[in-house]
Amino acid sequence: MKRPPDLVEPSHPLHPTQAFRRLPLAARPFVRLDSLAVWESDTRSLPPALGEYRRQLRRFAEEVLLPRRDDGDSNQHGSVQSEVLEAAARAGLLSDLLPRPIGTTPLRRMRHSLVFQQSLKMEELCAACAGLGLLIGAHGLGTMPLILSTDLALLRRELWPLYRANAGGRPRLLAYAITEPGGGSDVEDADGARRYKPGCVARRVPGGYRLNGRKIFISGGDLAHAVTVFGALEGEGMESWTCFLVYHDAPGFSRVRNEIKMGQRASAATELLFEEVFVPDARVVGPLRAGWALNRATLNISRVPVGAIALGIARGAFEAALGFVNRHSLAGRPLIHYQEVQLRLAQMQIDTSAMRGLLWQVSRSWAPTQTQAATVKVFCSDTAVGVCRAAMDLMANHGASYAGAVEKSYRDARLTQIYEGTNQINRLAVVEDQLEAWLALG
Amino acid sequence: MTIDIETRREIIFGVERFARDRLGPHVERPETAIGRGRFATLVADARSLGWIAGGAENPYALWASPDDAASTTTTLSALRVLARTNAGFAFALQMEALGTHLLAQLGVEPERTTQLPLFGVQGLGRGAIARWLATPQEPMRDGDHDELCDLWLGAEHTVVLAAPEVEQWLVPRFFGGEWTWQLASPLALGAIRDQRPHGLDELDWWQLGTHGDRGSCIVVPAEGSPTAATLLSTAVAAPLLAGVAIALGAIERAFEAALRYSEIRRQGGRRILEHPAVSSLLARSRAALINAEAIVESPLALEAGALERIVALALLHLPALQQAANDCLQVFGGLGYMQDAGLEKIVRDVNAICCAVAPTLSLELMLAATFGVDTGERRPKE
Repeated sequence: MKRPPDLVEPSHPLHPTQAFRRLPLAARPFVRLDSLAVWESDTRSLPPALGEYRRQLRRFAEEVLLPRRDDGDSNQHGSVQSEVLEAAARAGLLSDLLPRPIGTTPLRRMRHSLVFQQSLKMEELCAACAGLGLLIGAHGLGTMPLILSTDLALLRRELWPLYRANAGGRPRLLAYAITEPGGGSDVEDADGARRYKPGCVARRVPGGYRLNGRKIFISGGDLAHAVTVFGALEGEGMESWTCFLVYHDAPGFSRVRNEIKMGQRASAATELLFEEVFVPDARVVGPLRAGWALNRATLNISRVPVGAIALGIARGAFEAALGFVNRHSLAGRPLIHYQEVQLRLAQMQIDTSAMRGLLWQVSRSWAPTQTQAATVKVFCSDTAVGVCRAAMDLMANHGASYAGAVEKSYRDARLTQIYEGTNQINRLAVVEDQLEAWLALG
Repeated sequence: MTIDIETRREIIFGVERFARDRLGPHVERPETAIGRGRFATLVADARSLGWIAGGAENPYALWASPDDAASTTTTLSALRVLARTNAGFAFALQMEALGTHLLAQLGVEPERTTQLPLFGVQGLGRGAIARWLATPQEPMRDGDHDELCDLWLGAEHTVVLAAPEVEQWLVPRFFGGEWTWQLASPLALGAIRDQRPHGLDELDWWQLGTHGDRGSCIVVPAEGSPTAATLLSTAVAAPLLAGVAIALGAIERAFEAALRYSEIRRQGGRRILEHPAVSSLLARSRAALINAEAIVESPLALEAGALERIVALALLHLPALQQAANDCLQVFGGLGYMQDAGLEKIVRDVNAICCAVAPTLSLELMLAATFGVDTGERRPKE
């Protein structure tokens, strides 16, 4: 693409690329002379194991997800989903929360936090298609309670066979089920939970529990091989919440319906029904009454990759807008030659870079705090919706056209402000976590 | 022609009755787009009621006299009322009413149903059109000529929002240093219909490529027709105001639904309305609605020199309304994101309106053009 004629050429003595060359040698370490694309520059800044992983993920997303994006968006239960899941399984993306030989993550990558790895993964996948990205990523969410239980016998007995199947290219997904028809935010916020009457209840029977209730909006619930589902013990409140592992073929377990969503359509949001489902003691995940802790701990980890989902969607919208302004012209000049267009692009780039900066900073921790996780989730999701809106605005009527791709980005981004706790609930999570500190400072 | 307050009341009462009795039954499920056959029947009903009629002699017609404040406000109120039930329907009527009005102004007796569709005009010529409208008699700034030539039918690739089943499009075109008006049809232009648009599902979104006949059916204005500047000003400004009115109506419905839900849904033992986390969302939405209402219901004529004000109003209000729609959806939490609740359709519709009538990029450039930031030595008209 030809450069805008009214901007200074890189060969011009006033262009920073040339001007910096005149600095003394001793000053050179403090300046950068290249102008790499941000993605490349950011990737090079990562530790080698993560940089290499990011490149692999981008290749996978562009080769597997991108060509199937439109089909996935229009058909929730087509062949696309199984093709993508099989490819993801073969690529080790469905068994990557544990190192080899149980999981598929190379040991040298395990020096870096799981949160960082998952965040890199979700950005790359969702830059291509957030729906297909969620299809893959929701499995990690369903797996987290098992891992956080640190029950080695349970992991060996339940997770290992699933991971082996996944690594062999036969997808076996786990879904995470907390939301109930009577309580969305109530099951994500302590204040609400304190007064909430649980809708999903486990009754003690010989050898295990009988589970009754409904769960709604369960990502990947339609294809899940098993579900980590949270329920209260009979006669008790939310303090008794316990996590149970329920397989898809358990008698009494059924999938009632799949919602028609605004976006991220390639992954279903499913209503699950539990009618006298027997869960043996061996499939209780973690200690009894530890469900609330497992849930909150899972959310503290998973909300960071949700920020990465938002970042990926925003980057996808930015790249689509960039393609548009390079392809289309006005008065014989490509749109990218106009300053007002360049400024919009710059702001989108700034916004996505700010998201990534916060995300990567928090992701370095193996255990993000509640405040950190909620902060990333809220900031990235709100900013992503803004970036997508800016991309639509820049493309005018093309922005509202499916062919322009950014309208899908907007629909996809909008969900990140809602799931894993609405952004309002996430702000309250910051309050819950910080209030003592704020009071102490007052 | 102006209309008195009684006539205005009668018109709005009739529109409300139509929205309730005729349109309402077909959108009981707000998430579902009206079927094409039913939509065409409803539009035909509106035509038979005289809502679409060229010429100022019919006060019941939408856009009967855009240069008259009372008439314009009545049109906007009517569109608002219709949009409370279905934004797509309101939009379709406004495009056909405006097209029919402009054709009548050009002195052409319409033989076919006609509309003024909305083109993806890539920044409305970066303000060139606003500069031309401000000073149509003066020589153009360098670059403006080429930018004007690329608007509407001059654009190589564009996306066009149009009402379905309307036989012809009336489209302005800058050619040979002058504005002309052309009549075209999507098929003659070789347009392809987008099967999955973002919003306004009831309407057609056409992809216009480089093929097709773009040079035919030039309308020759009759003697005594308004000037090109007057007609063009109406063609640019009217959709902006209509966009605000239709978005307002659509979001009023969303707000009512969100408020009702917040009064029923309980969290933490209280109705969610009692939680500031939710009530602040509703308060912000209400503020946007009240502010937009002040515009839609205030007398405003599309006369010469009004473009600056109208562009400024759209620039301020449409993004605020877009946010209000989102805030209403957010009140519903996960349910709002699902098709069943109907909120997501309203959010998509309002987004589509903003894309089609008033991308902020276009509006900023147009506004800047009117006060000379980007016009060299020229100043706006007094």
